[in-house]
Amino acid sequence: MSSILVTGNEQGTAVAADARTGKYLTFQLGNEEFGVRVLKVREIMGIQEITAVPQTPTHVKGVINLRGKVVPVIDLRLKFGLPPAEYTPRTCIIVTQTEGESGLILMGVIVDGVSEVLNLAASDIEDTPDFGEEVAVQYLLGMAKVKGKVKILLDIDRVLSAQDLNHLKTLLQ
Amino acid sequence: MNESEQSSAAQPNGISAAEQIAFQINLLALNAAIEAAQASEWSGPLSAAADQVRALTRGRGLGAREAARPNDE
Repeated sequence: MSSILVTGNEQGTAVAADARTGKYLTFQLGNEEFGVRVLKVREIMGIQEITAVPQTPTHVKGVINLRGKVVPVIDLRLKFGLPPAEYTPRTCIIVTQTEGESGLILMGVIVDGVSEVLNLAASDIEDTPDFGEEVAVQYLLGMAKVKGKVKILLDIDRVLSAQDLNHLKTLLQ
Repeated sequence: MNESEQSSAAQPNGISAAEQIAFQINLLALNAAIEAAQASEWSGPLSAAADQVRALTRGRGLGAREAARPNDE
């Protein structure tokens, strides 16, 4: 099988457009549509009971039992500073697999609802515009132009800062 | 009679039983699509199955919404 090798560890947002093509899972958060790489997603599930863990940041909602595995769950609305919303039957938990220092870390991300799996070509993806120095855009892969709308592509590995990941790791030990 | 009316009417949480089923099928289709994409970018049967389930959801979701409408009024 001939595949294009992707060097995904470049710093900053200046990743070649070709490295970003592929399938994305899109979801809603507030009024916007976001996308994450399908390869970073383990599974999607409806909202379920979350066991709250004390002494954690507000966006860390707690842990769930994923078929015998304890998986931390964060609320992406709170993580992004959006106003909190009540969970509805359409609220979903996207279980993502994030690269950590000591291997794969599973993490649940609460979103308002999931939409579809999209196949994005290089021509569909544009670099993140420069918002000025003060806006942190490290966790954005780029912007996808789909049917006249813009979907924000997230680098889920970077959505959680290293600090968050370390915090979650100590939680799980 | 009463029971079936209750189950097809909108639930207190704002989603009918039919819509709930459509939602579950949609999740199933998306999970299949994700699994297919991870198996290979070109995996045939699994992504075909995902597409088919997804097509089913679209019809089902529409039907669920239409079925829910008379109850709302």
